[in-house]
Formats: sequence, C-alpha cells, structure tokens
Amino acid sequence: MLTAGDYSNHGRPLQPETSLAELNLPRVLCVLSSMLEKLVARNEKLIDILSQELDGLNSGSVRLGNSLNTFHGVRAPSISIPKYLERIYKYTNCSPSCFVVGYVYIDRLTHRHPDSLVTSLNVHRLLVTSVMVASKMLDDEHYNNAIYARVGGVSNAELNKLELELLFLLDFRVMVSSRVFESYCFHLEKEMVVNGTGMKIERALTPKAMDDLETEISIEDKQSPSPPQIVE
Amino acid sequence: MEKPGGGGVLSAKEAFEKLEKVGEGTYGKVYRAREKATGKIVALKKTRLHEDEEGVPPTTLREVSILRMLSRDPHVVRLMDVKQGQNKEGKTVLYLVFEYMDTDLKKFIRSFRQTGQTVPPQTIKSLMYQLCKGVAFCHGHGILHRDLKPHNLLMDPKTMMLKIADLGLARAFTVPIKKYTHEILTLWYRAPEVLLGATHYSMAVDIWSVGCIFAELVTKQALFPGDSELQQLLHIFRLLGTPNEDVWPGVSKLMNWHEYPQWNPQSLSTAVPSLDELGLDLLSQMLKYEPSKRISAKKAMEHAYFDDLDKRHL
Repeated sequence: MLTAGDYSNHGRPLQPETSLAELNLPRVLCVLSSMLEKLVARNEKLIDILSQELDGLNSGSVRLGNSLNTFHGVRAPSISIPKYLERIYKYTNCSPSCFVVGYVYIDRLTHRHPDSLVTSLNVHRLLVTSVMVASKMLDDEHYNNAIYARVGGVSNAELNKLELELLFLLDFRVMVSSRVFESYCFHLEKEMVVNGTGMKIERALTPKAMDDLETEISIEDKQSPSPPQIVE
Repeated sequence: MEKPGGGGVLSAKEAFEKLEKVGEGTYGKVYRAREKATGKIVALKKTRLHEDEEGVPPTTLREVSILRMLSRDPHVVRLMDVKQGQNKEGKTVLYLVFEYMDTDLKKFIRSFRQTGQTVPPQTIKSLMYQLCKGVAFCHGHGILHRDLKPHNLLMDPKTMMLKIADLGLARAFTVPIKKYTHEILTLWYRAPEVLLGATHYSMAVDIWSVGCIFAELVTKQALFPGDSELQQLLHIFRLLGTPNEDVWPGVSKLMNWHEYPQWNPQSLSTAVPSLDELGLDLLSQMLKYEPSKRISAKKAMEHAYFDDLDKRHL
C-alpha cells in the first residue's frame, strides 16, 4: 500500500490548495470535513489542557473513556480528513446520504460514550466504518468490506472488527428516521452558512460512474499486505 | 447487546441450551432453545460471518437495527438480545435471540388445507386486522418490509396472536438513496410495479402482499402462484385485467413493460368465492394496480370489514 502522502486523484496529484468544492464533489463532504476537523482540534486542545492541569497537580496522565480504543491508531494518518472523505466518496460509489448518516452514527457514539473523544488518532477509522455501515443500511447495491478496507487503508480483518465494535457501541441502533436525517441536514446546512457558503446539501442523488481504484493508501500502523486488485 | 469477554457475561453457548433446529436461512440456522437462567424458550438465529469480505450481512444489520426500533409493537416479533460468539473454527458468529413462536401462517394454512377445513371467517378477520396493524406500525416508522408472505408471519395457535418476522429485506424508505433493487420479495406476493422493474417503490408493495395473503387465508391456495417473473405477471393480468395507461398512468414507461396479452378484469369473487362483500371490497383496494391508489395499512384497519371484530385484545 502507498502511504497517504502518495495519494493521487486519477494520476493527477492533488495540490494542497485544491478544495473539495473545486472538485465538483457533494457539498456534504465539504461541510462534514470542516465540522470533523473542528471537532478533532477542539478535543485535542481539551486533552492538552487537561494534561497540563494534571501535570501541574502531579496527578498522572489524562484518563479518558476507552470505548473508542479499538478505533485508535498509534499515530495520526497523514491523509487529511477532506481528502479521506473524498477518497471514500470517489471509490465506493455510495449515496451522499451515507455521509450524513455516517455522521449521525459518530454523533450518537459521542453522546452514548461522552468520555470518549474523537481525535486525529481515531477519526479516519470511525469515518470509514460509519460510512460503510450507512451504505449497507441505505443502498441496495453497495461494495463489501474488502473494498471499503482497501479504500480506507486498513486491512479487511481490522475493518470487520471495527464494524462489529461500532455496532455494539451503538447497540445496533443504526436506523435513521427521516425526521432525524432532516434535522442533521439542517444542522450541517447551518454550519455551511457559518462557513460562508449558504447552500443546501444534497438530499437527492445523482448517478455516478465507479472510478478505478488505482491508488492505495494505508492508515494502519503496520503495513498490511495489499488487498487484491479490483478486476474490471 | 453483549459481546464476549465482558465481565461475567455468558456466551450464547453457556447461556442457552439448543433444543432443536427449526429452520435455516441464507446466513445460518434457527434453533428452538432454552435460556438456562430463566427456563424461557427462545428462538436463536445463528448468523455466520464467514464471508470475511462481506463482514456483517446487510440483511442482519437491517433486521437487527429495525427490530431495535420496532420490537415494542405486539405485532412485530421481539428481538430480546444479540450476542457475539465464535464457532468451532474460531469464526465470529452473531446470535439473535427472539421470543419463540410455535408456528407460522404458512403451516397454519397448510393444516387447514390438509384437513379440508376452512379457516373460520372471524379467525381470518382477526389475523388480517393484526397483520394490517403490524404493517401500519412498520410503515409509521418509515420501514418497508418488502418480503411479507405467510412463512414470515409467526403465530401462536393458542391465542391466535400474529407477529411480523424476518425483516432481513426490510429497509427505511425515508432517507434519499439510490434506486431500490427489484430483486426482492417471493414471487407470489410480489407487487406488479416491482415485477415491471420500478426502481422507486413505496409502502404499497407491502399492501399488495397483504392482499395476496388475505386471499390465501380464505381459499387456502396462493392467489397468484407464478413460477417466473413473466408467469407471475400473467397470473395477475388474467384476474385483474392487463393494465394500461388509463388504469395505471405510467405503466408503459416501466423498465420491464412489453406488449402483453390483453385480458379483461374478472370479478375478485371468481378467485375468492367465499369472501363476503366487505372483504371483497377491502381486497380490491389492496390489489389496485396504481400503487398510489392502493389502500394504506392504517386505512385498511378502519375498513368496514373489521367493524364486527372485537379489537380490545388485538
């Protein structure tokens, strides 16, 4: 597998300044990555503050909840959240709705386990797992775990484990009603207004051709063997 | 919801004593079992996760998550627990723990067919009311069942209580998604819009199935027993007439539409002769060609056919 730094967009390297909006991707990806980046930054700042306070008191290190431990890597992957979301969207052909529902799952997790924080160490694994589960729930035709693992840069075995972990943490409550879906869309749209792009996110779907998955990434701490190529 | 390794948590093998195999599905076996701690009889649905590439099957995922939401309704089978374990080969297995029901509507109808008896009209009425009530509850929560058939309707023959089960093909119809697959639903109970390749469909697909089940309860025979998609359509057209743009606007635009033999509609009483006038009226509203004109489950419960039914315990 290539490292995240080698990630490319159909052979055309993505320049750091290339935004999701410029790539004609669903607006939901743009606002979702912005919100998750803010959440991660806020949580990591909180951990730093708590660590400093505890250092001052000689009380040892910060002890947070361990509910999300399975999703933790040793170090943060080098691929950014926007590029990771773009990659999932491009290569899995899932509905834009899956990203809204995936966000619902992450939000439910943080409410069910408030002492477990979303950080740069777990956000990528949480994202690929929650979007994959959302796709299984919503789309009658979807790719399997092996493809999501390859797109997400983890091994098939690890993603299977993460999937079960997510489901049990959520008590298998992965149904999302239209009312809840709409309220999250509204919440994301409000965030877009704050960001200066007062547009609605996608509720309807546009058919999209499956791109060739020609670039490998890894967000694993140990390089796992490259999964088999997709046969055309 | 329990995973192995938790402090003091029993595995499925330790918690339950398997009594007998009562069925087998795509992903595993169903057992009648006894919960050791309470002596309570349950149904254990063992789901293999052998396909490493697939992970948790979407059918299992949908069934469990939907039942977490719907299980409080008396006409939907109750999911009591989900346990994770390992089989002899060390592969992950999920056990869905359901309340146990003695029989299903398919076996119930067969028992009457074998003895040559007719199902009492009030029993039919009670079962149909419970079915409409369960379907209305699912639809009210944004869930299409998509595989309603006698085999998926569990029953307690002592109390005549009916419960909807097997929500593996169910899905939410409330969140915007890609086109639905039309590879769903057992042929005999499949709505014409699905057979004709509609890629977006609604609650009406379940109502069509309910209508087919209604007729089968009365006659003890499937109403439209097709053995292929084409034969299934022809069975429907022979009784209800070949549809056209007048009776069903947009039908000729559906993906699988062809020029079919032309039949005139027959009276439903030719197919279901022993059903009374009110029953025939309800059935005709369930079997309307145009999905938007089909009666809803909630409206069906209010139909005059059910007026003389004691609904207090249903």
